[in-house]
Amino acid sequence: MGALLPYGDRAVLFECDDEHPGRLAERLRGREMWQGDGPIEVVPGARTILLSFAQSVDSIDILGVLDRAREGVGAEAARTPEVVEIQVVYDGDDLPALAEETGRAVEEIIASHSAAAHVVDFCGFAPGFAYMSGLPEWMHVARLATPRTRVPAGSVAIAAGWSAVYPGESPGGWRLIGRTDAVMFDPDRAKPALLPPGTEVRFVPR
Amino acid sequence: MSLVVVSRGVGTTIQDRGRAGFAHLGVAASGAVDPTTVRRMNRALGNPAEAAVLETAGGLRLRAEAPTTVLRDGDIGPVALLPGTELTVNPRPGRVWGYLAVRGGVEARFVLGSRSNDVMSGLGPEAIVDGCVVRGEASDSGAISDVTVPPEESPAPLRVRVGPRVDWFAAGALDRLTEVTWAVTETGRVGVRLGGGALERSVDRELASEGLVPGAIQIPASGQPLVMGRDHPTTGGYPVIAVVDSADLASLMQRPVGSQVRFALAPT
Repeated sequence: MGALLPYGDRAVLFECDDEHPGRLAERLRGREMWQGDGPIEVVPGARTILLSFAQSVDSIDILGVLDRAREGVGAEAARTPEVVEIQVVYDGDDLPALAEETGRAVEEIIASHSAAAHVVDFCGFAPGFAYMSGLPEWMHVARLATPRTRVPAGSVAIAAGWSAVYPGESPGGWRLIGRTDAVMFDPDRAKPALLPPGTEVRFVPR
Repeated sequence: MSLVVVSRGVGTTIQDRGRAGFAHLGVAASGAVDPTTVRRMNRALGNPAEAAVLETAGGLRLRAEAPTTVLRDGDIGPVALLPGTELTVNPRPGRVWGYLAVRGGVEARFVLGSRSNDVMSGLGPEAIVDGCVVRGEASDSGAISDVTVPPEESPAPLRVRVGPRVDWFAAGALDRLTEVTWAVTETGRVGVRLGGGALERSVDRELASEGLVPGAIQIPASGQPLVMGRDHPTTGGYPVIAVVDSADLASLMQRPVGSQVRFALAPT
């Protein structure tokens, strides 16, 4: 089992071993996991889960809850999770440069990206911006040395081993491979983020 | 109960207690920089604790369009404004953020359960602009009372506790954090940057992005602390050496650029 690290007066950081932070975090969010007041935020990172509370963490049996949650994740893994499909037009500006850098044809980059089983590890950078793992090793490319000042909303991009879709227009240094009409974040929807942590994602070429 | 914004001033936003609970989707809790002050003001106006207020770095000017009862941080009691009366809102001397509370609470659209404007993500109700109308909610407010403005805080060291990546720093870095007299070099709702020293890392590899809380003290490559504010990024890749206690964060965020900052380890 991973380590529990101190994080000020009202939070702790759990360093995951083999557990998927996004999936374990979803379990920890369950009210039934906690006796009394549970955490106000459960935030997965690339390899960690932040648990933050409205009160001091001193008297909370966090390790006990983590134990029970980890058993639950094992049981859930046997079920077929929901898969979100995202329709993509693969015409990103960085495709030619990526083909040159990786030594693979543009068609192969597109085929591999759309064949991969992506999982949302965590969100960050902007509301609804999901960091998805699942790319083959050869597609792990660096961010641009100089980020673009403007990346359009819906841009499908890869960098540092992750895939992502830009929820809104913003500056950005990821390599653009396509675009989608899918609305990644809408605060007025019952489910504001299309891709919360733990979601499985398939990109479907259009 | 309505006021028209004559001049929106600097950094003026609508704030309430924030929208905790969405950080895993990349949404910061946001909320007033100085929640204790806002709670005190809402209580004096007979408002519910969750009532929204205006927060400003200064220069906010409004004119009453209808009889409106308001309270500014620093005023000794609520003021009933007659139509046509103008009012300027500035922070109290030596502070970064000033507040205006309106009887009933500032009316605004809820976004993810809160009326706070998040200046980093842009989430929240429509921004305060020149000419817009600020209304008090027509609600069953309680009795109005005078306020006891607390005396200026003594410049006691701000309490910090150990953060998750304290072992990524050279021996003595935590001591140095509490020995240096830091100076605020930049401040805003997103965070506070400190200068006057540097903390040395002992681990050079890249940190995989992990969750952040308000008050988390990140140390970027420069070694100069960056303290997360209310509209902080929800995840980040700089190691967090320590965290400012929740009760002391507003005191830090209220200090203008150039102010001194001392930290002390909180007793455990």
